[in-house]
Amino acid sequence: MLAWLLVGVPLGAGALLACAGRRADRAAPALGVFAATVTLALAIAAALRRPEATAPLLAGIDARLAVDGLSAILVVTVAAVTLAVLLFASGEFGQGEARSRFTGLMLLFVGAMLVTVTATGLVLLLMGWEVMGATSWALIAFWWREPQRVRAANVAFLTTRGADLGLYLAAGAALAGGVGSLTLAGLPRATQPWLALLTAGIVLAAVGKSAQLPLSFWLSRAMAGPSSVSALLHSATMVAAGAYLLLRVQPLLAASGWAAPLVAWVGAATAVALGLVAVAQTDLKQLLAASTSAQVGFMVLAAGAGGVAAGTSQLVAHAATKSALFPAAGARRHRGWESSRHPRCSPSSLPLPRGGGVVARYRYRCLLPCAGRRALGEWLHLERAAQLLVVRPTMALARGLAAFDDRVLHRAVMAVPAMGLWLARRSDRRAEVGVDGAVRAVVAGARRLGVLARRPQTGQLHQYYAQAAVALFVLALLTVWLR
Amino acid sequence: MLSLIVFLPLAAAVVLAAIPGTVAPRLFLWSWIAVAAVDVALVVVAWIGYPGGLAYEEKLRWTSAGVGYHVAVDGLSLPLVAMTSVLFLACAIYSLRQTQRVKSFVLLFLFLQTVSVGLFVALDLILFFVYFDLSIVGMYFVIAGWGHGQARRAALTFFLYTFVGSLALLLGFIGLYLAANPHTFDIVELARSHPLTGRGAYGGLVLLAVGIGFAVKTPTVPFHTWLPPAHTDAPATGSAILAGVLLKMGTYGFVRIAMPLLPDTWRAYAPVVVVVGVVSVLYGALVALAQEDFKRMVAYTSVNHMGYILLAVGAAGLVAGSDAQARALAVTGAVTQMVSHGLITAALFLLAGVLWDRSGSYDMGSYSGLAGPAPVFAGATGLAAFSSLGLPGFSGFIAEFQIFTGSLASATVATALAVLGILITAGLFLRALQRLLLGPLRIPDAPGAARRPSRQSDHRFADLRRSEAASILPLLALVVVIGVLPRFLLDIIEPASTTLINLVSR
Repeated sequence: MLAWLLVGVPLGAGALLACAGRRADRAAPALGVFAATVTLALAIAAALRRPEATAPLLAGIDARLAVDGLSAILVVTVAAVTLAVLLFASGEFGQGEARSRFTGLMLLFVGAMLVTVTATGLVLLLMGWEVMGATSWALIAFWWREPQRVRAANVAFLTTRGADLGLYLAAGAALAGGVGSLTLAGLPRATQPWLALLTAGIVLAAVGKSAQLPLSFWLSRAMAGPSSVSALLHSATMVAAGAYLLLRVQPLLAASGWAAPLVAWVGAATAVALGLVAVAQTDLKQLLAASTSAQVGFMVLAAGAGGVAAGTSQLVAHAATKSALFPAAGARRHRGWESSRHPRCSPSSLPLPRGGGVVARYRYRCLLPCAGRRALGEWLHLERAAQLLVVRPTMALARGLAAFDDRVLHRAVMAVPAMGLWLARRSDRRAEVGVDGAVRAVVAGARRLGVLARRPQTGQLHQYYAQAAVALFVLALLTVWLR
Repeated sequence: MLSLIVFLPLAAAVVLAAIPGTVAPRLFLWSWIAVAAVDVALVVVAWIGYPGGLAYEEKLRWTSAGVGYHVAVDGLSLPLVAMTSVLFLACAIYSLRQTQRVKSFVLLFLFLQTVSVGLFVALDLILFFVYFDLSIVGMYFVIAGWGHGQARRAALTFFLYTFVGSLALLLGFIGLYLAANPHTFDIVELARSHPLTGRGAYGGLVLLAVGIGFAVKTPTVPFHTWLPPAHTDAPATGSAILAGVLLKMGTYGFVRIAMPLLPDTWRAYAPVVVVVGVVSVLYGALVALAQEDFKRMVAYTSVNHMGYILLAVGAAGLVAGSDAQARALAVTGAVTQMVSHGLITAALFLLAGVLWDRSGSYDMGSYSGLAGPAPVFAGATGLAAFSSLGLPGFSGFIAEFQIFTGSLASATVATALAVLGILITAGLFLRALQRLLLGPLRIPDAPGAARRPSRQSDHRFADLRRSEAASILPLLALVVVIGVLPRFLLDIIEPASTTLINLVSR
């Protein structure tokens, strides 16, 4: 029951608020903070009591939630960060903004993350995972009147969903490999070759969600959302989900043989490359975004290297830091400090609004040298590569097929009745005229015979005698000839 | 019980036909709603009392030639019967604002409801065929009489194309009849004796005929070209019924007739079905991605969604290399997809009808930012779009997840390709949402309306009216209920799919 409540409270409250419309705007921030507080209380209770809950979902596949050691840390982190972010967000939006929709979506987003980290099987994990992606789309596109924000949301959602396909394949591979219940704990028992496909699918999904190389670019676009969205998305949810999944299935990575080193290398490469990208950014939010990707790289590296505890502590520490940094960056913007330089390059006496922000920023100031690397500024051109290699060919193929559908396939089908009509007209003109002409010829012939038949009837007796004589003569000839 | 559910709308139509059309049109509309609501209530009663297996059976001998009136429901047909009656109720409510030749419109839809429900409960090939053909006739008149644009041309294309398909179907049925000893059209008896097992080419030809008949109706690539014009020019309710109910007659035919009656032929040609399914998935999704017309786009996504069903029923025939749990999962997913697609696509087409009603255009390029003046419309469209792209929490996910998971073992490459379909549908729906609903406001001028300054036009796109909301929102609510708590539906379907899997693997 406790486990259901833990995910049910944010999901239920979020769904209600998101559907309530503008009527609930005034009450929404307070309700959101209240729901987040309740969730935090439930999370702490769950961390202490370690509840479990099971419900039937599909044939032979149950929906089961459980809070174990790893989940306990995550649910408390997620709930605590959510409460902090919602408190900040209650000041971020003005009177006219759709605060009810915002708060509702945030709660749905968090609820989905809680489902992801407490699910013990692939189905429920995938459900939370994908709902999280969709709500992040709605949150990034929160200011929907501005097309570039919507486009950014589309990029983020499509990239992560493309990676999510790995989880669909993983579920199928698990079933084929003999893990009928699809539980995460049972995955390493899958038989080859399904084990390889299963591992590859999970790694792909986690890499996409965590914005690791080569799929890091969506995180840059995700900055288009409100600051509080970035704070949540970059700290305890979304990007953290990928790292969490890899930490959770660490036995599977080890069992596969090749996946653990691969994951470690991906994490290490991301940590270095995106760290450099972060250094090269001139926009504060972009800097933070790239550094998120790099920091998550350390968690991924830990998962690959088998250091679950190390990865988890990095996750918690990063969540705490980042959730404080984004509100700070957002607040700077609010005060008109539209930062085109990163902190170290700007005047050193920047008044950061909250104490936590100063501490958090300080940690980064120690780490970052001020080196303007323009080459890295564009996030290694990863998005442009995806555009060139995937999006444009797909769109071209789509247009080509649509043209084929209209101009070739549809016309080919429509040619069949057209051919029928053509045949009909042709037979109307040719065959019909012939038959008609034959009938007319018969009629004309009969008429002429009729005219001829009237010729002998002259009414004069001597001519009748002559005709009878000729007829008798012909008959006689005929008789002679026939004998 | 079943006959009552089937013939109640027809009986109501006969009674209403006696009332002159000059009487207030609201009488017809409200009696239609009342009849549809009673039908839904009867279906709910049947659902609650459903004992499992083949239930509510009625059997009458009709002619000596092996044709009979045999009806019953099982786990494959009961969900479709329920979905059909719910969709007709939604269409009845949506039509409250109908003003054009109301009497004949109502009579036609009552007739269509009898035909549609009748088809799903029929257990006799000839009875099935009669309903199959009558549905084409009814829909022809709906499109030709109440459509817009080139409605008559589209209706004629639809009629001729699907009618030719139904002739192929009839040939196949006769082939089955002649093979059985004693000759019979009874589906249950034919499933028991499966007379074409081991008959080689004869079985192949019969499956080809039956398969083409159902493939045209479903429709699958390359037999789908009648669908986009028919949808684009049909009235909103016509499209909803066409996509929601009539397309399911094809897919239902596969699980009710083709698979259990021709088990070994089905297994032999299952790879062909899988390939047709995957091609439909990818082709439908890609062509939909390139559309500019919202309704045409939704029509092509139907081709995509029906492709998943073919993939699943094909994979269920690939017995080697997969266990029964996976194949049963795929079939359950296929039936769930029929219900789910019916609800979601009907909602999408009714929403497209709102677009047409307000501005007379489906062109996505001429709209922008509708979320401003019409937030409820935008929210409903967004929900319907996300459920159509298979987001968890909506019914589409429950269906597609089972299809993919169940099909991967037996049709690995095909399933891996088909999964790409949900990414492309995500792309096309996000694109459509962005163009229609988000961004700065732009609304095309309604036909005939004087061009007004843009400031006034801000308030021209009215949000969902009461009848529209009352018809569309319950459909979406059902989609969410199935997506979150699917057990009430899966408990009905799962035993039937296990039975079907056993029949196919004989």
